[in-house]
Amino acid sequence: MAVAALRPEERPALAVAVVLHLALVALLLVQPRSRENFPIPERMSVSLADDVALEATGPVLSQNAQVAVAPTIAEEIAPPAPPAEPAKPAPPVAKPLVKPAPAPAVSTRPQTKPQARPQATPAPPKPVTKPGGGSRLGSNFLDGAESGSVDANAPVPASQIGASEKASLAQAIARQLKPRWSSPQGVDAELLVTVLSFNLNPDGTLAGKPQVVSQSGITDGNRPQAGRHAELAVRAVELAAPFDLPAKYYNAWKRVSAFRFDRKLSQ
Amino acid sequence: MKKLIFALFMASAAPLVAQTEVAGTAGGGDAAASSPATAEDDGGLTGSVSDEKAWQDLGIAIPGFSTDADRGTAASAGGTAALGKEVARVITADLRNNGLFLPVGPDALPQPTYPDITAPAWQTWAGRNADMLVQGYVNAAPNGTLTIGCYLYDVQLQSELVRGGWTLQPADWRRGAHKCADLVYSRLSGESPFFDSKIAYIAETGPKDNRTKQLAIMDSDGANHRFITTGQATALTPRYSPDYQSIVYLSYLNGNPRIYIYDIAAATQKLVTQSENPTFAPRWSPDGKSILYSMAVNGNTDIYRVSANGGPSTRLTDTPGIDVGGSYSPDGTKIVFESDRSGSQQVYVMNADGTNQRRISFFGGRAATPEWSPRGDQIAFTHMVGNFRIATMNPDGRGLTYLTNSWQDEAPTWAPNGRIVQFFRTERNSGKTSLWQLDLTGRNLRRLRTPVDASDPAWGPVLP
Amino acid sequence: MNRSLATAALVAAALSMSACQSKAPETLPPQPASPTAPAQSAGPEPGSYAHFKSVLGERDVIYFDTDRFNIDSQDAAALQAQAQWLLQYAGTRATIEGHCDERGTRDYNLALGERRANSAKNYLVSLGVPAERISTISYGKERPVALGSNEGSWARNRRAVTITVN
Repeated sequence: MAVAALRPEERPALAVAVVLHLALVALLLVQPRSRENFPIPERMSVSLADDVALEATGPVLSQNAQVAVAPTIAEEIAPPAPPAEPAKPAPPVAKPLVKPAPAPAVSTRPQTKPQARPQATPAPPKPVTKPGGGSRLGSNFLDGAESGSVDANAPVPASQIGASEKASLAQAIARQLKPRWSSPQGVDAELLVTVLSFNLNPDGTLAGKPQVVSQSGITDGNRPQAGRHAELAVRAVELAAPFDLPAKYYNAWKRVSAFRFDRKLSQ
Repeated sequence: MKKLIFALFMASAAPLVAQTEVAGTAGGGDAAASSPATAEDDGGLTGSVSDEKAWQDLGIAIPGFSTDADRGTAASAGGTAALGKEVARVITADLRNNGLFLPVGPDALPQPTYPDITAPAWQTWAGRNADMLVQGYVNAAPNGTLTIGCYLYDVQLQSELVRGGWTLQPADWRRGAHKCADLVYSRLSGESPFFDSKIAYIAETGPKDNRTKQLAIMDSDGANHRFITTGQATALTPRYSPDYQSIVYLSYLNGNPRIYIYDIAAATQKLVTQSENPTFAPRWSPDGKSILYSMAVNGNTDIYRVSANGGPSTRLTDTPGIDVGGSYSPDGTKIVFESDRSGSQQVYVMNADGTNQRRISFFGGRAATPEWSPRGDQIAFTHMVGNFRIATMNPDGRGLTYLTNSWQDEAPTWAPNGRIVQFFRTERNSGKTSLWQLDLTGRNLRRLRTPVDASDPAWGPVLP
Repeated sequence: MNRSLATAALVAAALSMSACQSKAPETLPPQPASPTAPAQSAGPEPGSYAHFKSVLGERDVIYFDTDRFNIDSQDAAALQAQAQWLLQYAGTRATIEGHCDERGTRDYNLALGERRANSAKNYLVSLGVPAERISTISYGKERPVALGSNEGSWARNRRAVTITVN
C-alpha cells in the first residue's frame, strides 16, 4: 500500500536512495583491516632534579669580552671617544657562529641552555642618544669575544656542581651503559638488583675494577643468577668505558658511588 | 568545559609519553637499593640503568676442537682432528637446544690451531657477533684414552672465564663434549649442569587400540639410543635410579601389571615386591635406597615404600580414595603425591613417613602427576582444566604458573638441574605421542626427536 | 449400583496391579534351556568363552561415567546376566578388565580401571558368584576400543569387560 501510494517519480528516487544507503553500509563494514603498526616510540628517560644549589652553577661568562664598538648614528659626529662600557651579555647573542660559551658539552646542553638564555635576554641596553661617531674597532678586536681571563672549561669544584648537573651526568652514564647491560635469564630474574661503585680517570677510563656495593631482590628462584647478575653489571661498566663525559664536571663524576642495575619489563 | 576536558586529557597523557626515572642527587641513594652508609657519605654520583630489551640469547662461537697431533682413534673414523669437529658440533647442539644461547658451530667458523686454544686470536672473533668463545682440544694418548680440554673466553673483555678437562675412553667421547657444554652452561647461566645425563622413556608403535610399548634409553641429546624391552609385554612409566645402574618400571610381563627393577649392566630384571595385587607408579628416593610405589587392594590404591633390595613394604597412605604417584623432595624429607580423597584428583604433600598429609592444590580443575624439582623450589604437575596443561607451583601451593596450553600434555619430569621440564604430548584423535622440553621460564619449547612415538619421559641425574 | 460397584472393583484391581513393584528377585530362576541350543550341533560348546559371548551378547561389557566407578541400573542388568551364566557353569573362572578413556593421566587411570573392575567383581560376588573365581586386571587407558577423541568414543572406552576361561 505504501509503495502504491508513491508517485511515479518517487519510485526510482527511492530505489536510488536505498542503493546508496546499502553502499554506505557496505563501505562502513568492509573497512580495510590494515591497521598500520605504529612504530613504538623509543623510551625517553627524563630525570628530575629537585634540589637547588646554594651557589649559582650556571655557565661562567667571560667578564672581559672584547668587542667592537658599535657606531652610533646621530646628527653630529662625535669626537673619537675612548672605548667604554662594554655591552656585557650582548656578544653571545650577537655572534651565532660562536656557540654560547657556557655550554660545555653535549650532555648538559638541555639543562644549561635554558639558563644561558635567560641571562642573555636582559641584554642589549638601548643606547640613549649620544653624539654619533664613526665606526671604530677596538684595538684588541682581533682577540675575539672570548679573550676573558676566566677559562670556561676549567674543572668546577665539586661543591659548586648542582643537582641538575649531577642528574645529567648520571643520565649520560646510564645512556652509555644501556646498550652493554643485559640481565641474565631465569625465573624471577627481573627481581634482581645490583648496585655497583666505580672510579673514573679524567679521560673517562676506569680506574680499578667496579665494586659490588649491594644486591637485592634475591629469591629462591633466582639465586643461581645472582652472581651472574653482578658479573654482567661489572662487565657492562668495563665494556662501556671509556666514558664520554664533560671534563668540566670531572669532580662530580670521578667517583660513582652507587649505580643501580636492574631489569624493567618493557611495554 | 572543553578546556577542562582538554586539560584533563593532557594531564593524563603526559605520563604516558615519557618514562620518568628519578636520578639520585648528591648523597641520596635509591629508595629500593640498600646501600650502606659509606656509599652515601663520599658524595659520589648515583644513578640507575635498566635493561628493557627482550631477552636476547648470548652469542657463542664454538670452532672445532683442535688436537696436538692428528692420531687415529676408536672414537672417530677421521682421527682426532675430525673428532674435534664432532665434539664442537655436539656442544653447539647442546647449547642451542636449551634456549639461552645462540651458538655458531664449527662448520661456519675458522679452525683454530693448537696454540690458539690457550692464546686465542682475538681479532678473528671480534667481528663475528660472538660475545663468548669456546675452544678446546682432543688429544689421543698412545693407549687410546682421550683427553678433552675445554676453555671459555669472553671475547669483548678478552679474558678467560673457565676451563676444564676430562680423560675418557674413546667410547665415551660424547660425554666429554657434554661435560664441556655443562661447564659453559653453568658458568654463563648460574644453573647446575645437566647435559651429561640420560633419559629413559617408553617408545610406542602400532595402532591406537593395540599399541606396542617398549622401554628405551638415550642420552639427553637423543644420541646412543637403545631399546631395552622387546615390546611383547607393555612397559610403562620408567624411572632411572640415581646411580644409573637400574631402571624401575611397570610391566605387564605375566599378564598382570607389576613393577620391576631392570639392571642395565646385567640386562636382568626382578620384581620389586611380590604381591597378589597390582603395583604401579614406581619412583626412586633421592638416595636410591627406597622405591615408592602404589598398590591397589580391592580397588583401593595407596602408596607404599619398599627398600630397593626388597623386603617388607611400609604403607604411607590409608584412605578410601585413590592415592597414587609420589615424588620425594630433593632432601628426602617430604613426598608430594596425588589423591582423589576430596572427590577429584588433587596434589597433596606429606612427610616422608606418611604423617601430616595436606592438600596444596586449590586452583579448581584437577591436578595430577606432581614431581618435585631437583632444586627443591618448584613442583611441576599436570593441571586438567579443559586442556591438560603443564604447570608449576611452589611447594606450598602458591605461585601457579602455566608452562603449556595444548590439548593433552602430561607427566612432567625435571632435568637434573631443575631448570628444564620434560613431558609428553598426545595428539588429538590420532593418539600419536611425542616428547617435549621447555625451560622453566616458559621459553624454548622444543620437541625431542625419537625414532618412533614416545611417552613417559624420565631424566636421570648428571653422571659424575 | 452394579455398574458403580463393578467400576470400583475394576479400579481397585487396576490399582492393586499397579502397586505391584516389578522388582527383580535376588536370584533369578535358572533359565530354561534355550530351544535352539540343542538343535545347533555346531554351536559353541557350553561353558566356553565363545558360548559366554554368544549368550551374553553385548552384556559382557558395562560402562561408566567420567571418573565414576559405580554400577548403574543398566550395568546391574548386564552383571546379573553374567552372574547367571557363571553360576550355571560352575567350572569357569572370570577375569574382569577395567578400562578408562584417554582423558586422564596414566597412573591414575590404572588405579581407576582397577576400581571399576573391582566394583563389577563386588557386584557379582553379591549375586552369589564365589570371589575366588573372579580376578581383576586394570589396563588404564592402554586398550581403548573406540579410537576417536570425542565424548562418544570416550564413553565406549570407560568400561569393564568380563572374560571367562574354563
